[in-house]
Amino acid sequence: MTRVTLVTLATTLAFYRQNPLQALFVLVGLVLGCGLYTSVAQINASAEASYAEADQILGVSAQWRITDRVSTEVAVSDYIRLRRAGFTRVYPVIEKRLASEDGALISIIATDLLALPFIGVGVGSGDGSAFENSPFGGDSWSRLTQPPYEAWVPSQTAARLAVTGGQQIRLREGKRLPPAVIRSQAQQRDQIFIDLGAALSIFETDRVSYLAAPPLTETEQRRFADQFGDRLMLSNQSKALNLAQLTQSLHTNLTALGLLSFVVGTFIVFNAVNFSLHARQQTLRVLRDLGAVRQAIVAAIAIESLVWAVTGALLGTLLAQPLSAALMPAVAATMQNIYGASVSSLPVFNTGLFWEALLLAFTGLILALVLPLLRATAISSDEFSARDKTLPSRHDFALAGVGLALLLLTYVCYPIASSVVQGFALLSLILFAGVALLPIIVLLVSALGRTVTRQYWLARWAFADVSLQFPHLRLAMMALLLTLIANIGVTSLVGSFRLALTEWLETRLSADFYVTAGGVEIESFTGQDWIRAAHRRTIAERSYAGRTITVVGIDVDAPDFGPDNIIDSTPDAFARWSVGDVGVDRVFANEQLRYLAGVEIGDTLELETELGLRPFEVLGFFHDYGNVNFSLHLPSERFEQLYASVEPQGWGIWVHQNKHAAAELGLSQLGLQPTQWVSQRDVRTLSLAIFDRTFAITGALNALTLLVAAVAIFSSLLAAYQFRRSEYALWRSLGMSWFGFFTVLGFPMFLITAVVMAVALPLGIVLSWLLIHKINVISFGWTMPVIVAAEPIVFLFVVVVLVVLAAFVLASTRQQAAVNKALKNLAGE
Amino acid sequence: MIDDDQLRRWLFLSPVIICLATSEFAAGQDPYQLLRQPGDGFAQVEPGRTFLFPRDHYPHEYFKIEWWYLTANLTGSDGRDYGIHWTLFRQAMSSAPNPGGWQSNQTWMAHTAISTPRNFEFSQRFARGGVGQAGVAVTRQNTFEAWMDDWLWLSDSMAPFPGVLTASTDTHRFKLTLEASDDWVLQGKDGFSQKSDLGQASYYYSQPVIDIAGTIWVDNKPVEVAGQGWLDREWSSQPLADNQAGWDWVSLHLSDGSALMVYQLRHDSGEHYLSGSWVSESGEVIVLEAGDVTMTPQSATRLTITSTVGGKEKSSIKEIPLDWRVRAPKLGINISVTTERPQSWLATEFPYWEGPVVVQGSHQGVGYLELTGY
Repeated sequence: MTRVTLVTLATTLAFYRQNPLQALFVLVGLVLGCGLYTSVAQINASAEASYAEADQILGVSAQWRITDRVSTEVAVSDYIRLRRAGFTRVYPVIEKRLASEDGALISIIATDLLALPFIGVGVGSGDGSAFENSPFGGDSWSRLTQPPYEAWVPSQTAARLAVTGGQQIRLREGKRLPPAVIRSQAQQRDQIFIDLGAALSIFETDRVSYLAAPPLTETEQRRFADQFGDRLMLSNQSKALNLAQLTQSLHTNLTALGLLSFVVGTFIVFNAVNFSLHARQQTLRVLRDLGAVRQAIVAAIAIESLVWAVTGALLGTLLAQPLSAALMPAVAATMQNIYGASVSSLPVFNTGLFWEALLLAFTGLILALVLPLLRATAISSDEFSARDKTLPSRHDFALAGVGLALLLLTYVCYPIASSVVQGFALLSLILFAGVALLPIIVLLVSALGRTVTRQYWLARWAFADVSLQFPHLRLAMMALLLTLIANIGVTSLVGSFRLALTEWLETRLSADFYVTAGGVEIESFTGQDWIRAAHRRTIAERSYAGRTITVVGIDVDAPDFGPDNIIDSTPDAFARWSVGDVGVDRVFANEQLRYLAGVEIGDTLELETELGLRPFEVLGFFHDYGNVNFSLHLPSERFEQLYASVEPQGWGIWVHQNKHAAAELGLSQLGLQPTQWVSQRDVRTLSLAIFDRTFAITGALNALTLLVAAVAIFSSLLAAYQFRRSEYALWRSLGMSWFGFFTVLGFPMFLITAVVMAVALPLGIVLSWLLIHKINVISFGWTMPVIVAAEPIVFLFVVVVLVVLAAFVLASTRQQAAVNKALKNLAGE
Repeated sequence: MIDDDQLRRWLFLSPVIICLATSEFAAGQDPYQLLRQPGDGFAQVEPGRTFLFPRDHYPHEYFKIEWWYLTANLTGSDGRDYGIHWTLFRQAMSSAPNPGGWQSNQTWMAHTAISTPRNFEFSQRFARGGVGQAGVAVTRQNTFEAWMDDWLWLSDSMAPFPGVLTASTDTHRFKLTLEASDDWVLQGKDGFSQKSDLGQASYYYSQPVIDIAGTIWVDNKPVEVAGQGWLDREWSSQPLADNQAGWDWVSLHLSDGSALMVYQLRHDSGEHYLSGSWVSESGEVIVLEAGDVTMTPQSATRLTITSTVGGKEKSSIKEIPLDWRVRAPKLGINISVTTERPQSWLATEFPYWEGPVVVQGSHQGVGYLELTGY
């Protein structure tokens, strides 16, 4: 049996030696499928490893955060007071997200390394091994903490910012960071580290962003509350949504795209395997005639599959390395910009992923093999051909029924879905529905076409050939359909988001300048001829439902917040909000409070104020894209009463037309440094630039899945033509012209593609609607109007047509030569 | 504005610490090299300096390194022996004038060790100078204060005595009142303490007789204690010569009321550099030089040292001389110095052995032994 299997295996494998292109297709399908899946899995695993490491810092993770009850930052003097009161594991942190001179996003973190709670870590290793880098030892401490200081830039960040060692990064507002030292610690991610002393000096401040501490005992918490509770606030960060939860939707999204690639890859494999088995039917028949039992043939094919799976998984994993390295920076940017989470932009290889890829490849291959193998071993080629029909079969109708049922199920389940996974399950229902409906639609269109074009023999023939080509192209077209639905859905999501964000930025950043010096008095601005309006911003931070909530004091007549900004409200809400009321304070809340904390219009929240715990009635909601915190808007007059000691953060300044330059000059004359104001126009541009960079990952994955779909079509065409080669030779021998030949061959192809695009369009729009109104709301807590822009979809369709055309030209050119050869065979030459 | 969920981002700092502590620089480098580096640019220790108190109780920032070093042998209300060791080290990172504040070029390190009949526990802390987290300074009330976070030595006057010292380790803590006269013993030649024939030296003075009383909380259980302590003050810019591996130092309170301090700096080859002082009960000081005194190890004790590197525990074996013979024939001193607490190794950044010892022989007594560079 073993010997027979081996001989069978040697014989079947010989096929690939003679047909290297077939071998290539099996391999391409497996490698692309495994490669894309593995690279996405690797990206997810790397990001998740970053979160896991977050909790593993030698017991000194920042589980507790200390903030000022009044100010958004903590005075360093308060920090020293805490240390001297025995809170020796509390350390100061400055975190900033800034833009470099040329608009690149820079994330800076600063702390006092000496203040970090060393719990049995290296320092104090007992053998002096840490000496050189100890603050009492070598020079590195001195270089970090003494002017001109050092900025430790991870190598990938340095590459992104095109910074070399010794270079000073210049920030948008003119400040310079210390000379860069390229130091890549694992887990440093995309942040630039500088000493706290350097940061305080560079940013000209005596306040830090917050204080952090590792786990505190209950006694310590009580002692903190007793001694500092009136001024400082202690909050447990582990109670807030953790990063893994927060970013789940992105990871599920990536996994879905990865799996989609794998499914499409499996389609390619299916076609290639189907084709190779078909081509080897003769060989298999001979083997059976020679006494090889069916089990031996199956075993040989199984071994062949294993070899393919291992090779595919191996090469796929290899391909995943450069691919994930190329995609990771975009993912890191997404994490940073949307979730405020910093992950490394370097993927980390994990051997588990190889085994996962192998399992997937093997499963996919077996799936792809089952049907062709059954056919090849049990059913004769004639029987198989007889199964092709020109009219929809009962099976096709059944499948269509399943498709409709799936659509109905999506509709029914829509209100119930409440988690990210359930949301994605809805999306997959849409995708499967599309796939199930495709055959019937294609066959019905073909039948309709034949009826309409009854008088034109070539057209009728071409329509009739749709039914003959479709069984071969079916899977590839289903793959194309999946890809197109996903593409349209995601493109519309990103487009809608971009438009909504642009509009929102236009309003929210409508001021021309933002003056960061809160201490400037209104009198300074009065009488300036360039000024149109000036409104102060004050912010107090509190905690609500485990998250930070910012209470923002807004002038009721400020141009950047008016009735138009309220997306859902009670009647006259803005007017009632503006005038206020006795007893209850009225606020507008960001959508995050509605979707993530379940607050509805008319609900009352209780928040700490300087006058004690106060109720706040929610009158309506506003969009607040990109904010991971809750936020409330309170009229500034009332704000000043409730948070009397909060220092104003700054001023929004509106200037008259064409007075931009005069305004800048005027601001200088008021004694403001150029670093104390920002041009909102620049901020808008920067925000959109950041947005585009953030969504680069989506574009890249879309392009990649489309590429895989193109390969699937190409391989399917080759397989289809191979099956029907003798038939084609017969056509030619009957005198059919090459024009007629290519028309009959090409028309079905493009008709099917057109049907695929027509089905993909509505389903893609439904998908984007689901993404925006379900996944987005569950994940981020914000919504936006769905805007389907024609341009990207037309572009996508043009690309698809070109891709299909290219696949057709390539496949049919090969076909032309093959038909000629077959003709010669027919003629006995 | 800082996003609430950004907190964990800064977690990369842990590898920074690991890097600071381990891999990037060669492991096994001698931490005491710092004391051998020439203090170019810093003030140098010269003979003939006039000491001025209380000024000299405070930092001398133009010198590279300086310490305030207190040890005490105490007896508890339970009749058992307790030991206390509290030190504050200052180091200047550069010889340039100190800009102060967060740009200060001074760093501080402090050790607290508590030896109880049950165990030996130590703690180490670091702080940057200039920000108020650590230092030695005059308070607004014109009193002496030496501190690191909540470890605090606060006096009633500009001098360290009388004062109250509060410090802690992981599970123990103490609060002790310290009383001593204002008679300071200038070690070496009027406070110029030579460490090598090559010229290395420090300024060095001591208070050998400090009356101490107070409470040690062992695992939160208070034990009243009383006994005697010893304060050393020393500053220098290069206290060790290149050929010196470390030192052995002992400070003893003898049964006749006198106090003896002896140290030897161990040379790689040849004779060790020996020096010391004897202070009679009445306060008479005799300087001891090589030839006046010998300090000889009698046997080595194998200690298993457990330390933590990069978050992982590792064990190593060290052979340390914990059994000594000290002879000062002219003073009629011939004593053995041994310890009942051999596990007094401080696995700190600058690892060393420092623990209470018992004196037997021509004199009885107690004291502290310090062994570095092993």
